[in-house]
Amino acid sequence: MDIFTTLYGNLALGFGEALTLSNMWYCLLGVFLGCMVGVLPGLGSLIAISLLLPITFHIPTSGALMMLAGVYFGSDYGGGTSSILLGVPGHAAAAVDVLDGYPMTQQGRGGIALFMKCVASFFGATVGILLLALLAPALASVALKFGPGEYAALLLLGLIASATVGQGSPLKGIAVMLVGILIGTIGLDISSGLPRFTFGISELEDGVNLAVLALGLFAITELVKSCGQGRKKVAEQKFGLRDQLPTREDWRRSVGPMLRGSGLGATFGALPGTSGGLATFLAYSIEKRISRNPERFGKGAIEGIAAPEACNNAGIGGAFIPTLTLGIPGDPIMALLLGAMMMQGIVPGPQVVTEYPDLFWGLIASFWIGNVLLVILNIPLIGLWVRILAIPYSLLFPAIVMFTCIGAYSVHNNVFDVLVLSICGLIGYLMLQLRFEAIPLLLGFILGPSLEENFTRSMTIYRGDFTTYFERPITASILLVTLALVVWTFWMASRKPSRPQEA
Amino acid sequence: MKSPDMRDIASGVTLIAIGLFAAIYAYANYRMGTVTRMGPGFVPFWLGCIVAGLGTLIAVLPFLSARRDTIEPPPFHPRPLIAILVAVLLFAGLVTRIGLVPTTLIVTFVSALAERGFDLKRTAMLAVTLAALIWVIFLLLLDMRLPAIVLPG
Amino acid sequence: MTNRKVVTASIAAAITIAGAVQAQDYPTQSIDVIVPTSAGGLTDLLVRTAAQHMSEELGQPLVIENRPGAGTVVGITAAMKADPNGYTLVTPPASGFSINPNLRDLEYDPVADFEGICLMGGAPSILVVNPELGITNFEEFLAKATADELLFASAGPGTPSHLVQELLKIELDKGGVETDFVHVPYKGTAQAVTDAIGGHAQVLFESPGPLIGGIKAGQLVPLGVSSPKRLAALPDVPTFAELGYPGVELIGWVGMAAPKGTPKEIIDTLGAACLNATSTPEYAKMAEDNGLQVFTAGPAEFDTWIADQIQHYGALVEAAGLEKE
Repeated sequence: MDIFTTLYGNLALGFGEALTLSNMWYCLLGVFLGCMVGVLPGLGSLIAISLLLPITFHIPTSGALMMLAGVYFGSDYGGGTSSILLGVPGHAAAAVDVLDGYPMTQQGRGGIALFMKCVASFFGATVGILLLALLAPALASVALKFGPGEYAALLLLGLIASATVGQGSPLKGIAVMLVGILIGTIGLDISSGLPRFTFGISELEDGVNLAVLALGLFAITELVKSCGQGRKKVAEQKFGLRDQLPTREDWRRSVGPMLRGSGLGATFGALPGTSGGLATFLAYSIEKRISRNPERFGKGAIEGIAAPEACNNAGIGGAFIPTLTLGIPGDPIMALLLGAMMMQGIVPGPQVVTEYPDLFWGLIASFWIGNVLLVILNIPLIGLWVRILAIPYSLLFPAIVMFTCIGAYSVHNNVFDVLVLSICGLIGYLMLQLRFEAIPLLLGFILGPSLEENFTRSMTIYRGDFTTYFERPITASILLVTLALVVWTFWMASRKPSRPQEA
Repeated sequence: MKSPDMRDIASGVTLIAIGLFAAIYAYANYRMGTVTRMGPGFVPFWLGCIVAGLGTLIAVLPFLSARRDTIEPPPFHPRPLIAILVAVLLFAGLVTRIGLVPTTLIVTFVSALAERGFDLKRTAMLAVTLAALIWVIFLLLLDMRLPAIVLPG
Repeated sequence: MTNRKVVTASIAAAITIAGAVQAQDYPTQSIDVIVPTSAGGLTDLLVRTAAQHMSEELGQPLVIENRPGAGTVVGITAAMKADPNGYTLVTPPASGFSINPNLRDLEYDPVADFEGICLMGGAPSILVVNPELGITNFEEFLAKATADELLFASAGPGTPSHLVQELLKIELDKGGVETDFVHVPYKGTAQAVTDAIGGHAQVLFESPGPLIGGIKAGQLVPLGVSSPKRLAALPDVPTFAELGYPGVELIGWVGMAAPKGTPKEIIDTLGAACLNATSTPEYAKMAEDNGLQVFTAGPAEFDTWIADQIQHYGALVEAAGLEKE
């Protein structure tokens, strides 16, 4: 019982700190701006932050931190909205929402998908924050057990799982995932600092930008595909608020995925080396694998929204642990949170939790408040977003072309990224023609550099002896799971009927 | 028995080409290093080899079995592909030279050509509305560093 | 938008506080400051703190624009190409202005293409080891380093964190101590520090900021600091000069510069404002809390400093035999 008394005390302290009118206002401002900017393709948290940054230096620390946390959740959330409604991911991690959310929209269930996304992300955030409050110190020490070898094994598992999750052949999935890793090697090599596959173009030294690649593969490809089909066959959408509510059947299907997704997200969130969607895609692939009828996935299965969305938000709380206790930011927003703290003379480190309990727990409480505000703000907005679909596609798609171009431009304020966008779009369309799926390529691209980096480093540390992988308990068990997954996938694929009846 | 699927063979051949290119380019230009201290060429070289290997497998398998992939790709449409890619390239070429507002007008017209049944009046109205909207969102509200319009001279 | 109002209001407030503005033509509009590293880093913090004071003094806001990429090369190159009218400035750190020019072909030349405005401070590196090694001082470290291959992490090839490691190796070699360090490069500070704490890497050189937390918590054991004087934040850690290796002295720094051709009066105005901003108590406190040191220089001195640093690092890169592009 003691642990719960402590938990209660801590959370009470946190909410006491966070629930002031001015803090709520800053949090709402962050959430709102994050949401609005996040919906625009390619524009993510960075733009929202650059707008809010000047303010953070003028308001109290707790308010600034809450506002930034609000932006974090808001932009992350907003990115999924355009994935579901238009098949155009607002940012790379939201690409997973395209898989089943967009088909749901095409079936006239876009509002329901948005609603379930809202519920799942709130649920995931709540679970994640509770786990964080209970286990914060323990999570930090788990993260330290993960060295280069462990990360490499885990990344391999995630890649194989996501490459074989699509509807096509697992062999092609793995091949295209490897091509994604190859694209990821473009740029400066981490160990030597030398450029690779840049062909003398200095803009390529930082590699192909993730947001630009995702926009090219998904947004441009989707635009070309939809225009080619002539007048879109999107089902009639209903626009009443009641029509956006999931059915009893939807709820029944979503509870399990939300629980599993949250657990997975909270666990992976604490491992700083796995950020960037690994857990989210893993959550999706687990749901598909344990489902009794996996063929529904990719065609509008609501589980495909619920699990990754819960997983994503459960992980954000966990991601904060290494930032705070080790002083190590995982991404730009975390870096800013850290910066705002350092401006106040708070040195991050394991002692932060004990030395500044009001700040720490206040921040955790504000995460939850941010999510509450997100729900309050977004439920009424669902009806508004769905109305976008009432606009005829012939009017909508030139706007999407423009938004996508501006999004790509905004990444570095550079037209080079727009050129890359067009190339990625062409590649995406050719891949569609050759029946390659875009998700494994994207995942290979996201996780590949990290895999190469950790694998290379682990071989240095293991003195070139690969068998060390099988001598360490964590690496050995992860590799065993990976192997089992490969065998199982190909065995299942070989049992599939050669030509299922299709409508 | 049906004839082997051409698209699978094309995919396999594409993969072989990509893999061989990566492997050869990496081998020729970058240091390979040893397993303990891998050079910049090590990973791309072996990745390229594996991709080419899988490509071979994918190209050959259709000859060995009559099994088919289950996803039907959409038919190939050159018109929207060209219109949209040209629109994106025009954006890249024009936006810093003539400004965001005129670029929006041009890009809207070109991308509208992607669909059959191009309607001049409708597109013109769309272009103007869109230009105004984009000016408000990106330049006024989001404060992006792009010129609204660059006057010649 | 409400937030724009807030920004405008706060800027207006800043101007009112500053009161009467110098009777000069410059500046008449906001000044862009390109920071070639990510937001929230230590360089960024120093610059932002100083920029706030400079805005008040100059009566125009300094707008920070983070342009990270290719290890500061992207942002610095962009600044080089900007109009030299005093409205685009850049804050190059040591890596961009003195290490990279020795390692890679760059579009810019720090001396020929820029005018120095001021030096704003910086940080030395601290040598830390994982406590599981059972090492508590530098002597034990030397014993261990001669007996074993030690896994020596760095924040990446060509970073100050890597170069000071090479410097230590060279100086130990000169002193007849043979070592067998295995360099384990990381992508940035974050993961390198985590792995040093987790024991996956054993030794690390890094600036104090990201290390202080771990050192105070006993997760990392500090052995020496690469500055001529001990750090205020870690008074018990000896300098390498005290340890008998005065050659192991390397300090990372950050300064402010403008593209070549910026009028001299503007440079002098900015230089004076920058020196004022970096001598405020707030600036000193922010630096001390984060393990940074304040050492400053005006425009002319900073130009000399840059040239010296390029030579200094160049000699080190040469001696260490690092791979060049």
